[in-house]
Amino acid sequence: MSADTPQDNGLHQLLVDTAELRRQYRATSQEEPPRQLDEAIRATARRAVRARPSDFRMGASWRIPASVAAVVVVSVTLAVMVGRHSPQPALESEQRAPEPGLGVGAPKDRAEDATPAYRVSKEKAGASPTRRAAPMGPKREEVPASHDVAEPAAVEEVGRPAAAESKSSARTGMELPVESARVAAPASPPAAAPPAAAVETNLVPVEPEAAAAKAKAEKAVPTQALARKRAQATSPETDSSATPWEKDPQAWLAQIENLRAMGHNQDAVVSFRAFRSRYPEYQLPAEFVVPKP
Amino acid sequence: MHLAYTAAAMEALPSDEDLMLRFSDGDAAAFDALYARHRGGVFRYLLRHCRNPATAEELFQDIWMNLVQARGRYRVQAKFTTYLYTLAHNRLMDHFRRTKGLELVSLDSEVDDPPELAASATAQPERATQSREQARRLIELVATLPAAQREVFLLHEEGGLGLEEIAAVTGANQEAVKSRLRYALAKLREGMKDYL
Repeated sequence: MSADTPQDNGLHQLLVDTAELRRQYRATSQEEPPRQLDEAIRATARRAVRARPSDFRMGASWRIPASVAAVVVVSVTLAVMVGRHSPQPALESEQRAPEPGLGVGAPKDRAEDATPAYRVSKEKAGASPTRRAAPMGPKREEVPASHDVAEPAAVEEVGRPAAAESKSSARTGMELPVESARVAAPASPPAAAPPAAAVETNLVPVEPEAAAAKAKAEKAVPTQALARKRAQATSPETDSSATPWEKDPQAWLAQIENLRAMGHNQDAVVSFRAFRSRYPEYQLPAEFVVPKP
Repeated sequence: MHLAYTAAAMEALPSDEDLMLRFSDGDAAAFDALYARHRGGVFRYLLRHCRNPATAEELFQDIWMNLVQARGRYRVQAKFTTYLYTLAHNRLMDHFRRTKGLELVSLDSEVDDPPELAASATAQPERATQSREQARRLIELVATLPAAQREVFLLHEEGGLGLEEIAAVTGANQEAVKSRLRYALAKLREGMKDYL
């Protein structure tokens, strides 16, 4: 113990003065832990040293079941999701059955036998959920009016075939609403006429008021088509991506019951929410138990 | 277990830090040696604080179990005793925090009946009685010290720690440690003046 300052000197002197007292304390203070406690602690230390190599194995013992459980959960989730979407090709084949020239083969055969007409039809029907959901809709409305007008006009001007237009739509994405308008109302003359006029507005100077009116009318066409497209997409009867039970409210409710009974309560809740968004007014049967998260 | 080591033997003996490192590497005998060196000091440090042998034993076991479990993370950054008494101090503070400082003192505990001070076998019965009374008085005085002063005194006497090490264990600055130790010794000397 260093004794540099007066305080240190004082403490040092005190330690010297109390040396006898401290010796007495140490002589008095002789308590020790019980022998059993000594043995227990030593035994624990020995066990810990011996068990050291197995620590890793003990640590791994819970990792393996946890990994298996995680894989099972992911697999079940995927199976449920795939099961939910798998009836879609069958439905498409059902819808396509009356069309002439495609035969009555299995969906796989049809897919392999995908003629250009089939591809066009599929694209027009908006088979892809991402396209059907029309995420471009709001963005489309935000685009300036001149954009809305010019693109369909160009398409009409060169007079491309329908299939070519569909490919173009798939490529750009910006033309989707116009394409949708054609799908929703294939024989709608106003939908075709304004774009042609719009070409004229781009090429020939016209009166400002007349141009504004034309632009307004042309802008209204894709908007109306988009609304029709949305209505079509939300209608279970016309939605080609809807699963069989989604077309039948009772079957859908039975499916929700099945999910709940199988323990997939979260899936049942999600499915029931989808059911309610599609059939908001549907009167639920008395015996139906609404799944809750 | 107080072993009388000669200076030469002490030099030949491995240090606490070496023993702890050997124990970390899987040498159970190193732990036995380490435990034998410090079991008494740690136990008495706990016993003087909580004054209940059962509680002291429980805390004592926890501290050594913590040391066993933490052996893989042990690095020589300070003296082993600083490390060991830091474990003890923390466990004790945790205990006081949980019991909110309310610790029942066992009336028939061995604290109330400390061993008499060393007296020769030929000493007179009066001397033996006086020695026992003196030992009891000293233990009582330590128990009545303020907790901070008692802590410093016990770490100094039971753990053999220096001021700097006590400061490291308690988290106090070194000047405070000096002051507490000075007050503690002064009180003990004052309380024992009739016997000295």
